[in-house]
Amino acid sequence: MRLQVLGWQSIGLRCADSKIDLESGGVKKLNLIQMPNGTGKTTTLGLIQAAMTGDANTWSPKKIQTYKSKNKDNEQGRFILHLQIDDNRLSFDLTIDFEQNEVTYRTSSSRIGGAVEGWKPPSEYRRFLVKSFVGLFIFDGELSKKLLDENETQAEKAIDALCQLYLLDEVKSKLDAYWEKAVDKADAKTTKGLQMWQGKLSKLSTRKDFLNNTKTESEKKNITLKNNIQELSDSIVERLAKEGGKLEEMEEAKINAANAENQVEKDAETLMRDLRQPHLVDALFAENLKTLKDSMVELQIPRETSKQFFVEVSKSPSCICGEPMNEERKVRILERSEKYLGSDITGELNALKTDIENNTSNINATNNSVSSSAIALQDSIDASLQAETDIATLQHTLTKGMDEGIKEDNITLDALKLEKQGLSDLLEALNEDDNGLDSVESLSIASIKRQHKKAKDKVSEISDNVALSNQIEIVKSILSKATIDSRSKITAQIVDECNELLEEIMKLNPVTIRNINKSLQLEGQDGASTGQTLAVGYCFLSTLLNRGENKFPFVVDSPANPLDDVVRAEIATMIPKLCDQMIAFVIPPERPDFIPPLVQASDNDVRYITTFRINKGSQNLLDSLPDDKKLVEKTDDGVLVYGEEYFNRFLKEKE
Amino acid sequence: MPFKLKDQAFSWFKHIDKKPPLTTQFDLYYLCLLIGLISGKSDSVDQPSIFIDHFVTGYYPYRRIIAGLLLHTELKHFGIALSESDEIKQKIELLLSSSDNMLTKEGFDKLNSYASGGFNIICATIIDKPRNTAEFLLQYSSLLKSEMSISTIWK
Repeated sequence: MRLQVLGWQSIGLRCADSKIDLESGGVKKLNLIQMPNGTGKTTTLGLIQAAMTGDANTWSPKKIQTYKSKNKDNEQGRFILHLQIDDNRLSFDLTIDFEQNEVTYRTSSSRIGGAVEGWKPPSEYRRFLVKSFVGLFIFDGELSKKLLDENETQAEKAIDALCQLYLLDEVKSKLDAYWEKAVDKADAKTTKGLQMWQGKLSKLSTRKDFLNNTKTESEKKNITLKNNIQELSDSIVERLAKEGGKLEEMEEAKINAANAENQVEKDAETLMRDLRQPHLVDALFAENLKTLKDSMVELQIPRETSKQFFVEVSKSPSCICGEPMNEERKVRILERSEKYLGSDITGELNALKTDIENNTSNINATNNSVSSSAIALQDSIDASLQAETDIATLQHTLTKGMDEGIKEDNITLDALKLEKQGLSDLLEALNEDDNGLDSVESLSIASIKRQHKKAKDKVSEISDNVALSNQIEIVKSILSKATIDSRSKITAQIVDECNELLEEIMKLNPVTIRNINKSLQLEGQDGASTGQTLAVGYCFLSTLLNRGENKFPFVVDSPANPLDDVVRAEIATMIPKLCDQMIAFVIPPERPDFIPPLVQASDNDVRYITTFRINKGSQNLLDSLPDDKKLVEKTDDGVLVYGEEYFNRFLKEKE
Repeated sequence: MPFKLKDQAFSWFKHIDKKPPLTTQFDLYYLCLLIGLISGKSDSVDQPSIFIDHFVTGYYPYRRIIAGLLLHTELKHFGIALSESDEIKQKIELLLSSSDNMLTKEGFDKLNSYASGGFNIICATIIDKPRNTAEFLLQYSSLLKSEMSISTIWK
C-alpha cells in the first residue's frame, strides 16, 4: 500500500484559512511548509491526524474549543484532507461545531461509492489509519521520547504493525473457521451432546467478543468521562468561588491541594529511591553485609591464586618444586585445587567486597533512611487529605446560595461521576482473574476464555475432531512461536541496522541501541539528550519504514529545531530516505545547516510553500510578496506563497 | 536466565504496575524480593511471568549488593558460619558467577523463589489489591520494618 497526502484545506479554524496543494505538477518527494511560530503548525498537524484516524469523535468539549479561531466568532470550522492510497483518492471532511461541541465527518472515495456521512475509509485501509500507527509517520518529538520510554510499548507496536506480524494472527482466525466448518460436517455419535456443546461454544464466543469490545469501548469512554468531569468540576468551583466572593480563598485552597499532591508524589519518589538502594533499606542489611565482607577478607576469599593455576600445574611434566609430576602428586594437587575459586569469579568477588565497603562505610548515616522517608510520606498524605477536605468544606459553604445554572451543572457532575464509577467497576470486573467457576454470564474475560477453551475441546471430542483440533492447536502454537521468533529476529536486525546508521550520524555524541524490549533501550545510559532521542527515533523509524512493502508519507514538525548544528546536516541527509513523500513544517531558524542538505538528499524534488497570518505586524511581508500573482493565494486572514525564491527571501528577512 | 515472578503477583499489583514511582516491573519484583530475603521465606514460581533478563538501569549499580544479600541469606538458611571457608566457597560457586548479572542459574532460581516467597507475605498482609502507589509504599515500609523485627536471618 502506498499512501500520499495530496493537500488540505482549513476554514474558520485556529490556523489561518488556507488551501495547501501538494498535488499540482506531481507529488514531490520533499514538501517544505514554512510557518512562523504562532501560525498554527500544531493545530494543522492535529487536524491531519484527526482527519486520518477519525479520532476527533472522542475529543472533549475543551479540546474542541482549542481549534476555534481566536479572531473570528465562527459557529463552525472545517478541515478537508485529501489522500491518495494506491490508485484511489480518499478525502475526509471534518466539520467542527463550536456551539454544540461536536465533530462530524464525511468520507469520499470511489471505493465506498462516493461521499458518505461519518469516518468510513475502505476497510482494507483501516488498519493503517489508527492513531497508534498514524502517529509513527506524523512525527513529533513526543514519539521519540515514547520510543525510548521503558513504560511505553511504541517500539514493539511499530515493529508489529510495519512488518505485518498481525497476518499470522489472521491465519489463526482462518484455522478456527476451518475447525468450525469441520465440526458442522461431522457425523456425531451423540448428536444431542454435540449440539449442546456447540450451543455453549457459540454463546461463549459471542460473550468473549462482546466482553472484549465492551472493554475497549469502556476504556475509551472512561478517558472522555475523566476529561469531562475535570472540566465541569473546574468550571463549577471557579463560578462558585466568583459568586461567593471567595475566588482567592478557593484558588489558595486549590493551590494548597495541588502542592500537597505534588509533595506526596515527591515523598513517594524519595522513599522508592531509598528502597532501590538495598544497603539503605535497614542498618541490619549494611551491618551483616559488612560482616560478610570482613569474613571473606579474613578467610582470603577469593585468594590471589585461582583453581586454574593448580589444574595447569597438574598437567605439567614437572611440579613447581622441580620434582617430576607423577599420578600421586597430580591427584593431590587437583584435590587441593578444589579449595580455590575459579579465576573468572575472583574479579567479581573483589568487586563485591569493594561495593560492600563503599556502600556500608557509614552505617549510622544509613540507619533510618527508609524510616525517615516513610514518615515524611505519611505526613504528606495526611496534608493532602486535609487540603482536599478544605476544598470540599469551602465548596459546601458556597453551594448554599448558588444559582440555578450551577445547581444543574452540579447534578450533571454527580451523574457523570456516577457513570464513571460504574465504568470503573465494570472494567475491574472485566479484568478480574478467573475464579475457576463455569458461568456464561461471568464478566471476567479470563474466565470466559477458559470456559471457551473447555467447550471447544469438548466439541472436538464429541465430533471426533480431536485430532484436527490438536493439529490446529499445533499450527497455532507454531504461528505464535513464529511471531515471537520473527519479532526477535527482526528486532535484532533492526538494532544492528539502526546502530550502523547511528554510528555514522552521531560521531561526536555516540549513542547505541542495546535492545528493543517493548521500548528502545540504550547502551549504558539512563537517558538521552533531545538530539540523541530524536536521532534514535529517526533512525529507528527510517529502518522500519524502509523494510515493509508499504509506503507512507513522513510528516514532521520542526524536524531540526532540537538538534545541534553538527547533527543537523547528517539528520537532514538521512530523513528523505525514510519515505517517498516528506512534509516538513519548518520555522525560519531551521534553515542553517539543515534545509540545503535536506533539499540535496531529496534530489531537488521539492515543493516550497510559505504561509503566514495577516495581522498588524505582517504589512512588510505583504509588501514584499512576489509579483507573479499565480504564486500567491490570499484568504481573509492568511497568505500562502508557493516557490523557492520567496521561501528563501522570507527566511532571510526573518533572520 | 531471566528474572521471574508469579503471574498471580503481576495480576495482584495490576493497579499500581508502572505507576510512578514504581516505573518498572523490576520495582515490583525487587520489593517482593526484599521481603523474601528479610523473612528467609521462599516459594516455587508457579506459572511464572518472565519479564526481564537483566538488572534494569536503577538497580544495575546495586547488583553485587543484591548478590551479597542473597549469599548472606543462603548462608544463614543453611546454618553456615562465617568461619567455614570451604562451605562459603561452595555456596559462592553455586550462586554467583562472573556474568553481568553476577548470578548463576541456581542463583537466579534462588532469587526468584525468594521474590515469590516475599510476594506471598505481601499479599497475605496487605490483603486488598493496592490501588494507590504512595499508600502502598507506606504499607510496604511498615511491613518491611515488622518483618525485619522478627527476622532470624538478619539479627
